[in-house]
Amino acid sequence: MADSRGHILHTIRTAVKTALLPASSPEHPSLAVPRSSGGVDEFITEVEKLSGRVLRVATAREAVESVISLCQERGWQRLFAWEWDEIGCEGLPEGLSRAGIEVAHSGSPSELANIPAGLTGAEAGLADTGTIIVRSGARRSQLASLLPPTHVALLPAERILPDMRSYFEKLDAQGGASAHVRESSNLVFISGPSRTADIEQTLTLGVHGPRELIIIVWG
Amino acid sequence: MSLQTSQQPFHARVSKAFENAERVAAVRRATVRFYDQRLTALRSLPDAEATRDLARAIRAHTIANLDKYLTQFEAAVQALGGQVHWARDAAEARQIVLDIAQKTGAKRIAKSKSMISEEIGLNKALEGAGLEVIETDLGEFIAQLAGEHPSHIIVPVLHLTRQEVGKVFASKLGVPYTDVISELNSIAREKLREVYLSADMGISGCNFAVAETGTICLATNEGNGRMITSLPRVHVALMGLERIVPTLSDLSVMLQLLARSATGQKLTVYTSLITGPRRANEPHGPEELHIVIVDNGRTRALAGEMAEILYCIRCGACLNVCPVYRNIGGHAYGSVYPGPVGSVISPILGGIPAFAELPHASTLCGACQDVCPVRIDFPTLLLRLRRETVRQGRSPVWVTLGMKAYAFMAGSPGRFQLAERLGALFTRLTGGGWFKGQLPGPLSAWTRYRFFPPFNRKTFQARWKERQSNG
Repeated sequence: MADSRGHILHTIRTAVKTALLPASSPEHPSLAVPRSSGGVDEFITEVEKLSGRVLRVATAREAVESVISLCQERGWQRLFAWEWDEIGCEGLPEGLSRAGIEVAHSGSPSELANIPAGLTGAEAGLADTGTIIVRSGARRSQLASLLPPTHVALLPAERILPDMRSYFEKLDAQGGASAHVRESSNLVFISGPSRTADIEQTLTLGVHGPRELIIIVWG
Repeated sequence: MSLQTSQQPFHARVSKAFENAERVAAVRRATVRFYDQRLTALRSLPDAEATRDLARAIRAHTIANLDKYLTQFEAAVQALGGQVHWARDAAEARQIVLDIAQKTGAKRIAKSKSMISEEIGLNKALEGAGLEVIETDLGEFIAQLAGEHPSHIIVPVLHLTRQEVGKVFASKLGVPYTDVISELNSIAREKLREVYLSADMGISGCNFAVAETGTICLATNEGNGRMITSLPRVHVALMGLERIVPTLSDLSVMLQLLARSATGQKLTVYTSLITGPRRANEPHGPEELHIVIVDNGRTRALAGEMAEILYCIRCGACLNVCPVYRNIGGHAYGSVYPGPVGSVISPILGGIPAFAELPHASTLCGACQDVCPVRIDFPTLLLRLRRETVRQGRSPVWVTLGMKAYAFMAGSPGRFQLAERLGALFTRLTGGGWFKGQLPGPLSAWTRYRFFPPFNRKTFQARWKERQSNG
């Protein structure tokens, strides 16, 4: 129909005049709700409750070593990773290349789907839900945290915030959450590995996305 | 009419639901579990009650300013190169999606779970046009293979046992029978991987749309929602026009409640914020993003005294707690939307004639209002709909006759007293022997599960006089 938009908006404007809308106010509501205050410890507890794994290390160098030992333990010879500067962990490319591990930063999805592990950074961690925030971008494929059976994320400890509200507030203080979110087509809050309980409410991990989520918290 | 999932009369559907004791048990087991998990999850919030108040206020404010937020959302999507379509009804929504498929040459379509696509009967329309449509949420995938409608808005095949799923997989996918759940999941994973990588178009729903950023938010657990919005070259998102919230901060409030109320998770595994199509410099993601804003009766709900139902965030908590849903399951409602929310929204979207029994399929116990994250007053909305069914002459015969008889007897003091005396006589005649709270003959159906209290041997007026004289 030619002008469904106009018709719908007109109907809304007419209908709302007779609408019985309890608790509505003309102003945008902002009631005071107490906030959570968790940090790294709570983050680790929550991730583990979700069957995720956290490796807690002190320095970037140890974080790189953790990635290399994971590759060696699991026999991974290839990783699907974000561009190095986006992961932001010093010494990572040199370390991996010394260990003889190949890295793909891009490619066709069907090729990338055969790589055993994806390696990404994370923009923030949320303590109350055990969540990491992963945002797509020019040098950050959203598929690295999705296609491989294992997702390894590197998260500096200082980026762990109490909750989602603190995350948006922090962005607002840095020049606007809205503008930041609009920079990328895809921003995902990841809480644990892929799961389903669709059959008899029995939990199974890794139904479509990664079966395993390993978060290396460093610094 | 695709909202309607059955042409059978309501009582026949309910009887059918009770025939399968295993399914009744499965529904009860699952709903009780979700209810318990919800309680635990809400306790983990610093102040769940204040959060619910805020969520309710946000929804109320948004619906009161729907035109403003929808146009703001539209402009924000378009500024990033996304396309926004408006559909007045189901037919128009289906046509919009068909046109997009045609224009983009899409042949294979992968879908994630979306109740609105069920509501508008999308799959049938797409398949009718020769397109291949594959549901990728595990539960929906099973329902699609089994040729069934989902029975729960969050957990589509909550009514099926693993043996039933095993049989469906064996017969429809040609795999050896297994009822081991991890093996069933692996079969689906393998089958659907290939679908993600080869689909031309992904169709999703939309849990929330954020007006200030033009973002659609999808809450999923399996990862299929991310796959079908990242891999195919075209992404079509269907949204009911009430799905909107003003800001990201509002979104964070709603997300604190959605998963907690639905499954008892603090957040779903993947909570995706999709803002526009893939940027020119991004390595992956869909080239085109189409958002279809669907009315299909929602503006009818907005006009008048039923508007509060538009606050609903489709968490399904009211289904899990409802004593009626727990017993009859989802299919007996005969609507895409079952449970208390379905009993309210189905007659509004689909018309009273098709769903006249649903407002009566409630005990009015109010448990749904207690658990609703945005505190929708379901009992009042159900009563208003009951009144409407009466006005339209669509209330059940026994209610109409019963009420007429009552109105006649209570219409004068003399008739009222006569009725009481007859009741007292009935008690005297039956009281000592076989009566015992059970009604005789055809009325016994009513007392099979209920106690029928005996009438007092003295009339109300006699007792009133006694009371007055005793001072």
